[in-house]
Amino acid sequence: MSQEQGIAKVDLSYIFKAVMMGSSLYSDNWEEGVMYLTNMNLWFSEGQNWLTLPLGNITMVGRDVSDSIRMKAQRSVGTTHVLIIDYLQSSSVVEGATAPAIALLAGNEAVVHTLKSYLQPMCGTPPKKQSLSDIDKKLLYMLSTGINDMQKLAFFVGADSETLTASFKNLREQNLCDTSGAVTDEGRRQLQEVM
Amino acid sequence: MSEMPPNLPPFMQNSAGAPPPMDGGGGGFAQSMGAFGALLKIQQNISERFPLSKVPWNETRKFLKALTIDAIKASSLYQFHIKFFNEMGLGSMQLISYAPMHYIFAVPNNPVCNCYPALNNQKVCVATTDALYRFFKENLELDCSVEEIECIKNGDEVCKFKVDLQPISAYQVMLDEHDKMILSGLRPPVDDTELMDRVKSLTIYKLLDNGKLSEIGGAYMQFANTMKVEEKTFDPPWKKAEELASIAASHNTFGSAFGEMTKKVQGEPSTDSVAKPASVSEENSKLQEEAKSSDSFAELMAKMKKS
Repeated sequence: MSQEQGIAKVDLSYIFKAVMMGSSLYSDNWEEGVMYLTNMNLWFSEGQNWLTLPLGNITMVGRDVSDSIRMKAQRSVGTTHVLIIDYLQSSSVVEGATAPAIALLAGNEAVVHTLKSYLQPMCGTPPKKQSLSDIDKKLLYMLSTGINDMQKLAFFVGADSETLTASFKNLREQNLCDTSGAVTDEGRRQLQEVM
Repeated sequence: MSEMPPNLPPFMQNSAGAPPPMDGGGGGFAQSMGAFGALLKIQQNISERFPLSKVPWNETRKFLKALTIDAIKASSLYQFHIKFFNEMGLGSMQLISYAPMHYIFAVPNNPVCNCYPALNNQKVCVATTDALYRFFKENLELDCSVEEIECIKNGDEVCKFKVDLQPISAYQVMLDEHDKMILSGLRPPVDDTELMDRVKSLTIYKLLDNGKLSEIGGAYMQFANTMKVEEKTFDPPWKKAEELASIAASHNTFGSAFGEMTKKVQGEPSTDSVAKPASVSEENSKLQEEAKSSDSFAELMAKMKKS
């Protein structure tokens, strides 16, 4: 892999450095342009220049896209098909250090899925097998019916205890349930919305 | 937004000013696009056909209640699934191992592996993993996790995929009103043989234990009584194909069969109206030819759509 070799060229909309707070997107500066995929980098056109994202700096490809990001993409670039790429960039504060960043790619459904299918094995990032947000919803349903036995919850939700603990932590942090597993008023309101 | 496209990226510019071959191996951009394009074609098939192939719960129920590999393979849903994935370019998938809510599918000579010529010693079949996840989750309404456990690209004989259903979701689809009556301690209006079969299924699925409601069964009923979900009834996506096959079998001449088939399909948009895609290998050479004269995937895709 000493020489850079092109693999694909696609037309996409993207945000090279998106700013996210929780699961919401606070950037809206979508660029419409060309992206090259090579065996070493992603090349993004920006005006008359090029930005590169080394594949080696990518830490995750294809994490869950929240509904709010999809809606925002729909309004800005007319599609809900978004791929999130997490990567490390040089820190602008500490020399030699890295800081996490994310890029968002939006476009035709087939192109976005193909890029995901290509990048995940190339970057060595394992595909996400199950959506945590789905587990969160299921867990919240179960808790709302009064079932709070962890063994039963793990069986029903079909998740290992680590995943279930992470999901439970998520729900607590969002104030959807308390530490005993009792669903809060906010949790009940959200359940009604998703149902 | 950029108004003017920039010059070629630096990796495409050599000292003489002309771009070097995209793959550096003499095949040019077209060859590189062939592998990517083949995967793109598969993803296009998935995008177009998945939304048209939702399966009603009564068919998924038969699949879930089939308790041996042979019984599963005999189900209409399984046969549709295998044919459907093959038509999309995902290879000849088959069920090789089964336990309730856990399935292992194998794909010998997986065409998806051919889409990654430069990658070796790793699992690569993200497209198949995603397609299985979407099929179970979106078309069957079964929440699940899917994992590729063996891959030809990783030195294994075949690619293998493990599908684990989320029990709460499987129960929601699998249990009909008669099953719920049994779990509530009531006898449904069925004969003894059917009753025994239902009790057997519910026991295998851990909802009954020695003929009584298990702890899991009790917890599920507590959940189910709070969360009412309405079952939608509609024709399975393979129904029309079966009707057409039956018409063909019942007519002596092609002309009479064709006439009746035309009546059947006229004016009815359906999943069968989507043209069957050519196999990926056939598409590959065509794609490479088209890619030679295309500047980008947008242009290539436009051509592919027209054809």
